[in-house]
Amino acid sequence: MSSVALTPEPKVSEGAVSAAAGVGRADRVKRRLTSPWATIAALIIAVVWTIPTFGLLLSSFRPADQISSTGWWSFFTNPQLTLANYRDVLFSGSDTSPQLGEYFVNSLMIAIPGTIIPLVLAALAAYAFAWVKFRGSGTLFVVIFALQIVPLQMALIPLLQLFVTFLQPFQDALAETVPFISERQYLPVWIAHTIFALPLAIFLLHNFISEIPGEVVEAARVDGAGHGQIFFRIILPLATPAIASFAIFQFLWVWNDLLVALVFSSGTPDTAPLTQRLAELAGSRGENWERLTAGAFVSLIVPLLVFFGLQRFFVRGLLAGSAKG
Amino acid sequence: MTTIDLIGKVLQAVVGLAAFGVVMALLLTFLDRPEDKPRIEGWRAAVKQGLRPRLIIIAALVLIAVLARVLYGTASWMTQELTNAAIVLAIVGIGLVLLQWLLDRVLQRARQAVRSAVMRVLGAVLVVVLVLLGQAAEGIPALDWVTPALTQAAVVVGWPLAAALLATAAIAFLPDRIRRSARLVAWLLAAVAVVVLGLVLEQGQERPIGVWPWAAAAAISVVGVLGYVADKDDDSKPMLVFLLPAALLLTIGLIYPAIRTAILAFTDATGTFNGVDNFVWMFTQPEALITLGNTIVWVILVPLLSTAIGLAYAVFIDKSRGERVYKMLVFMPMAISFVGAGIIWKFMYAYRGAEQDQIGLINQLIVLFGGEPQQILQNSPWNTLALLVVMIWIQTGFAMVVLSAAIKGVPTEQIEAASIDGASPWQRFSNVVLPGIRSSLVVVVTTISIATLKVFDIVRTMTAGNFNTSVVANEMYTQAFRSGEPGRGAALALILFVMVLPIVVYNVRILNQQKAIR
Amino acid sequence: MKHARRIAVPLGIAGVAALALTGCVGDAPADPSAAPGASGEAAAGCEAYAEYGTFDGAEVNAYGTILDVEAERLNESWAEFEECTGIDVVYEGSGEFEAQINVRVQGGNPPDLAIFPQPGLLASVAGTGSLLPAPEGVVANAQEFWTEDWQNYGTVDGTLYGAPLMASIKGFVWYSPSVWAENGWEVPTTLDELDALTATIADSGVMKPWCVGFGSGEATGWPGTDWVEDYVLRTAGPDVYDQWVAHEIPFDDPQIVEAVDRVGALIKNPDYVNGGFGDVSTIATQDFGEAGWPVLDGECGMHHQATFYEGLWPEGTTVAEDGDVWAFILPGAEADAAAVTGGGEFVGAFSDAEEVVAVQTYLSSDEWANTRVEIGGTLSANMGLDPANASSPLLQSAAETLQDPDTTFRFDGSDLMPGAVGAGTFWTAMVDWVSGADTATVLGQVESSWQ
Repeated sequence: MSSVALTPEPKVSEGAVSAAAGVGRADRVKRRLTSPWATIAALIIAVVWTIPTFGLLLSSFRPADQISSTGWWSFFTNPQLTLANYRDVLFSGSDTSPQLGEYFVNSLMIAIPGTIIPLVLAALAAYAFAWVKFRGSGTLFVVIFALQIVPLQMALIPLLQLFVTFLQPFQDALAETVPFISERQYLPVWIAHTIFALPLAIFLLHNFISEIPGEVVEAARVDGAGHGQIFFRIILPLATPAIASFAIFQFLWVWNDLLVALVFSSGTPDTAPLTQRLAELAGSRGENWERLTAGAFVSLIVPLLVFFGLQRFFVRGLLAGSAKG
Repeated sequence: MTTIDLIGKVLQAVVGLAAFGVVMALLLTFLDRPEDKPRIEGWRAAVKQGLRPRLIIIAALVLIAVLARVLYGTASWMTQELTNAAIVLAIVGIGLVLLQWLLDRVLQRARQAVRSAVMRVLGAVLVVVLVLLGQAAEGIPALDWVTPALTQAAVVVGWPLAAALLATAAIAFLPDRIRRSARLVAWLLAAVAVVVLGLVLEQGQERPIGVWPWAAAAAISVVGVLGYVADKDDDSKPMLVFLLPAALLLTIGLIYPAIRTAILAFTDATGTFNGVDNFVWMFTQPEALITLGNTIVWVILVPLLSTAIGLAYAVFIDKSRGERVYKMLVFMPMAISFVGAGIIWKFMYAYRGAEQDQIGLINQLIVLFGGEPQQILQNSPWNTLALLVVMIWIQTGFAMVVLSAAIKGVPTEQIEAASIDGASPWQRFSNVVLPGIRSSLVVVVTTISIATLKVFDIVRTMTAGNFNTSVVANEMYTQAFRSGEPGRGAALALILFVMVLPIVVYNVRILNQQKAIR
Repeated sequence: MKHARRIAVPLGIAGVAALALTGCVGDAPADPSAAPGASGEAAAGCEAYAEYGTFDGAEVNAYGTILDVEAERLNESWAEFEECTGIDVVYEGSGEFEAQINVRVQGGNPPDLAIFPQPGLLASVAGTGSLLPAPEGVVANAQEFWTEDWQNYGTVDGTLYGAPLMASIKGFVWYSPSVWAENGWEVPTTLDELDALTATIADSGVMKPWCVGFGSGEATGWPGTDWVEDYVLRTAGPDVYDQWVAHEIPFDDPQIVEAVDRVGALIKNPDYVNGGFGDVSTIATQDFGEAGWPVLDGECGMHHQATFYEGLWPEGTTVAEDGDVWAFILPGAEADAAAVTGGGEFVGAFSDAEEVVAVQTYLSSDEWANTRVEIGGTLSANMGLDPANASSPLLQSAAETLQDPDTTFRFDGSDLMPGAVGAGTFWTAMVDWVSGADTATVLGQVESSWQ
């Protein structure tokens, strides 16, 4: 059986198997598909892939005038570092352009619901496509799949029209009733991100959920479990690795998004995310790009933390555990 | 940032997620709703059964009202409007609870169909009354909290809701045979009614109502069609609950814009129909073919190379020491925005004359090996490859993470069996692992292909489409937004759609094969 | 009807209680903070703003291209106005303004005020019908403080939509006074002298005469359009310039080709350009913001860029006649024929709420122009501006040039052309041209794109 992002815990299974069997240990150690050459190749790829980012990291600590006059590797012969770029980016606050912290909170408040909501909806839809039999399910699925190609840019204006006529009244009402909620809210951004994420999310999760062994689902149904119970008790736990991996990607996309934020957030500190602020920091005439280097790293931290945090889901495949008993 | 701001922000997220959770929970409770509630005999028992849970709700509402009144004057944020709102809402709530209980009693002996019909009609009347009351709120002191915004919100929700309730009320009486079709017709009629109502209302008013009747009609139609599909048998009904939220969002957010784009492609900048002029323009402007060619190069090379490298990397590092660190390194570009990646690679490709110090790594290496520094981003056609590399650099992380997980899903027993049979590592890989991850490969290639077709940020930030590097997505953005030619932009969007069709068809075939196997 | 009473009783109780509760609240005094007149007692110094009235908690959204330091200065410029009138002006700047303003207007979510960086964009947005004609106060200010030319840039089909905000003069040539003194080079007074000087510098072997950079992200190419416009205005004259911009003569008219070729003689000559960066081909990619920096290092002699370049020199650079860098206006074909091109922003409104009108009117007044120019870094073509308020000697002289009745002023031509040309094919044409394409071909392409 194959699956998207489905992973057993290699160390645990390895340990358990070898402890139980106690023989053929050498075989299992050699089970890797690799040779020393492969390791070298992997090292090369890793280095090549890291160098550009490393160059940026080093550049972000170099004085502004040096960035554009000498290569970053000249650091090794002429080490000269400064925190000025980061100081500019992090603390260049005034009353009109507040510090980055506020935008950071906005980014989080946009990205977290912007990840959870589409995931839940997509998981529900993917389950329906995979395990509920209804006429036209194939056609409907293809339609949703094909919707991936509707370019974001073409959807911005109609969606904005809808939001202004439908959502604005609710937002205004909420802002007027609850004193400390601004009339500029995250809601449009969440909905926009949800809509744009759904086709891909449904497609990916469907691929996974449909590969859950039919016997497991059938058995539950025979036991009298309804769709709701099957979804929560069987599908969701088994699909955790897939959901977690998609969650990482969705979080990254939302976190790094600028286009949706430009249109649907207000652009003010009330709702604008980090990306929007960083784009402004670059200056109206494209100068100050030493700030961009520092800014890029500031906004890189959270996605990396999320990757580290959710990575364990990649390697803890519950399905593999249950299949092996 | 003040603490109040922060509270407001966090509150938005919490309330938003909570509301989302409640909606989802409500939807899912429909799933396991018992079809027939047992009838309760005798008034005393009925009161006990029916009134007790309602009493709790009533008590809660009264508590809220009293609390609001007590807090008024003590807590600064408890404004007069808020207090009035709490009290009025509590009274209305109590009234509704009691009314519903009363109806339940009165109609207890009536047929199921009559009961639901009466409930729906009354519901519709109630909604209309509330909406009208909201509109007349000005001047009623206790309703001072009903702001124009709130009224508008009520109107936006109220009318379609009432229409839907009425549309479905009459259906229950019809014979089973035609009920299903009648329901669909009723939903569609309701949709039409909303549009007509909207247009009629628009006549008398100065301010146009805009798109909302259309969108409401679209939403009602979606519900109707999905309901029609689901109503066939009991087994397919639950799909409504699972599919409805996604279907609604996709309809308003993507299908409606897609249709609009398709129409727009045949209009000029002023919105008048101009036939296929936009397509003629597209293929006659001097760089059109280069742009199309570039796009094809992109969509072939990027998915292939990033998947191949990602797969190789995933295999090489599988179960090696420091696998997580390895993964992290190649994954990192994924975490950088396209614009950030553009900056990084502009650095890499930067050019200085041969006599100066190079500041771009690539040219530094070229010089180190005795070459002449190159204008990497300017020398066509190699500059397209240089831009491609950026996308590959980003997408390899995606391919690697997904494929690595898939490889770990290949049963170890199969690999062991193969190695016992004396298969070489390459044979093990191509005979066991590769077939095992085939569907993941398809997914990865498909996803990267589509992402590649849509990407325009890289080209924009690095060359702005100059030097023969433009791609269709970039042209689309430029035409639609920068040049004020939405028609041309839409035409380019259609071309993109045509280019993605083969990918869709291929996936459909794979899907059907899988269905056949299952 | 036994059971009916059961229901009636709780209902009745609830009703009475409710009446009591709401009744009490209804009589309660209004929120003290909303008491009128609290902000009417304006602080000292607010007399100047009395004509704009006072508003309580009103908010006006402004949207524009101005970012970062410039945005802060903008906010600073109306801070006192905000304090005195009670209007909160919320400014949002975006590098994507040109695209986003279309999205927001079509999406039905326009800002209250938009600060258009190009008259062409203002005209195209006005064409959609959503931009409101300027209110009376703005019209009056425009007529009082701006020349007819400037009013015309904000006028579409005879209706004034926006008054100008700030201004910059485009055709400055930056140089290092000390380096020039060392080598005995002198500021040229005619274009021929400039050509001669260019040759002299190149022959001296000390440095390349020019540093040029057209790079500007997705707007790459615009510095090239500035070069061309400056030369068209000087070699072909203001009348041809106007016809060219209005497309009354073809874009590739022989006189235009001549002007472009004259620019090409300077910046497409490998002996003349880009000390510190490489050869001619680097022009297309060199970011304009840093393109002039080699002037400081003595790697090239001159750099052509607008007044705002004053703020783009590296930190610590003194801009003065005896400082690190200084600038002269690109000379005319003959000596003392003062002709300059320039640019500026225009403020259009999408709302006619009183507070929006007040802000728009204030921004078109001479008070605002003086306040803003005093803060530094920019200019205004407002005739009520006292040049002495300009923050630097360079800006003072530029302000005087702007107000000098003998100056032939023309607006940046690419900003007046339709967006598809002025911010599209013209830009790419300049990139192609400097990458090697010949003049007639690229101008012909622009012409064919302009229907």
